[in-house]
Amino acid sequence: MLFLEYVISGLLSGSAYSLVAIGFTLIFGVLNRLNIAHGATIMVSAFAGAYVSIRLGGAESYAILLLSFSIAVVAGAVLGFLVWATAFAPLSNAAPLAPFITSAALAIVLEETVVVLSRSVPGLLPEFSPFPTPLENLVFFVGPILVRGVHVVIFVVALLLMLSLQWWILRSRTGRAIRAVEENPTAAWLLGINVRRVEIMVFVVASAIAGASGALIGAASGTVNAFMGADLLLTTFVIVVVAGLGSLTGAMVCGLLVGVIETTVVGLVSASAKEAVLFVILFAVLVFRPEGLMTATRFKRD
Amino acid sequence: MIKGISNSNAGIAVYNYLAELEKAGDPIVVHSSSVGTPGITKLSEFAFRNSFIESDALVALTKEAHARTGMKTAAFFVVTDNPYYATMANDVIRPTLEELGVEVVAVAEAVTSDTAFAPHANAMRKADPDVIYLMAPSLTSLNFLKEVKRRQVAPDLFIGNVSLFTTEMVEAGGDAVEGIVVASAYDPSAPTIAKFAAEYADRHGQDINVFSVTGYEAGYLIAEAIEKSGIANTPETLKEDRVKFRDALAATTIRSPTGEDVSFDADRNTPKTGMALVIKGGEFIPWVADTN
Repeated sequence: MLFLEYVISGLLSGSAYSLVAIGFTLIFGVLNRLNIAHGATIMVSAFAGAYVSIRLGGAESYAILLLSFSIAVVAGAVLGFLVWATAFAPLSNAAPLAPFITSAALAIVLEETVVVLSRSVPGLLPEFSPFPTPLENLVFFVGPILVRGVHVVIFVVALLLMLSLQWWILRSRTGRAIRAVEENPTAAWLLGINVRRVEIMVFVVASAIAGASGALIGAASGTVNAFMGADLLLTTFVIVVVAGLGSLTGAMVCGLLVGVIETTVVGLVSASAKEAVLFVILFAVLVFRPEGLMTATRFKRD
Repeated sequence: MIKGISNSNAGIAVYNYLAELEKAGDPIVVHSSSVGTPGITKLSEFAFRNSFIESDALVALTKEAHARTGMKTAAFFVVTDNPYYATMANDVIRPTLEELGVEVVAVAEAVTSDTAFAPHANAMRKADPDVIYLMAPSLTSLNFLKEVKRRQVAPDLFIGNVSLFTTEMVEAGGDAVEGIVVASAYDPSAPTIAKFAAEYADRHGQDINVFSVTGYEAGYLIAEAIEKSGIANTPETLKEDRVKFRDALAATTIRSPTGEDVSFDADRNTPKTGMALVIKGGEFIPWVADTN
């Protein structure tokens, strides 16, 4: 029974990883570049949502929670555009590693800015700040198993977002343009696709998802802190590599899988073994299936 | 002076480096206002600290808790990626519990970056201890506490560590942190501390915590020692100056923001009596008989 509880708990908490990984891998799929500022985008968006909730007293109100969530999504989208404009757009012809460095630098700038703001903005606190929501203590039992309401919300939102993204990418005109840029940006440009516009669109959508992740993760723990995104990024990186860089379905499935692995390892072995197990899996995937578990053979980009 | 490092891992590393410098014949005075690891200043005669050394206070607090609750069983929630907390649990609290005849029935291990605590809370629910010790940083402890409260784990008492003595704990913790007892270097309701807190808030725009108090103490100690040391402060006299400064610091006494006089003992620590505080109604108040 305990094992079943760990599996369910892991699936639900893993959906937060899935949300983060979906945004992260979407940007890689189109730009073929890693956005290290994705974690910082999650964190800043979470702070934006938390601040609204603190100022409006959102501990008991679902309307304020919805407003906080919306603000976080918008903050993520705006910040995503700014990250693209500062860390990626000026380096479109530079070496692939260059945006990795600039986005990492931007992440540090964002984290330190939030650290400074946390000390001076009324309502925020230096070490960590509250994110009051009615979801925090919402629990129910499935038989003897305790389930947190916020985890169910995250699971449902992650599932809806993934299905919407799949539809958008597979069925819409913009989605076709995204897939064309993903496969071969030069050919897409020759066919009249505005590659830059596609890149901006992908950044804004992926970062809006990061905003949603930030708000939900903050609501789940009831707190936000300046380094919450950085803590998530390493696990997210393992997820997208194991799934296959650029695979949305893979990010979703592997996010859930990692949640289950983490929870069961902590419950049955020890907390310190958790990361070791993840990295053993990463190592095995890189050795035996370097393209990832859930991708077909990828086209080589220009 | 170790400035800007409040992480015990990093602080311990600095003291170990000092010990290496002393072996090489080139030691420099190291002073910390936050490192709390028991016995760390014995590494070098140039090692000082005015940290609140929690180990003594936790032993006293454990004995007090035993007397007041009659606890027979205890459990630890402990992070393993910071040796300070494991040291406090295994080398300080466990022997005291053994001495008191209290059985340790569960140890739930975590790492600082953990955010999900269902397995840890389940371990506590299964063991059903009389007292749970929180040997983890504030955010990790808070998230664990919220999970055990959701799962209706209700020991007679939660005993925390000094890193839980922060404004964040009460403001972000809400009901989850009510009734937690921590050891503190000072009484936050004392008039001297209230005055210091007001001045600190004016200057820094923040509430004080244990490190603000020991940080200011450290500044006063060092400033006083520099004035009294008679150092020449030239490249030629550097080695001699370091010895003079060490001796001056060892002999320095200052008035702390707590109102107490602070000076170093033979091991270059500044022993402080400490006191137990409990979170009640969203604030830290002295843990006295009527606040059970």
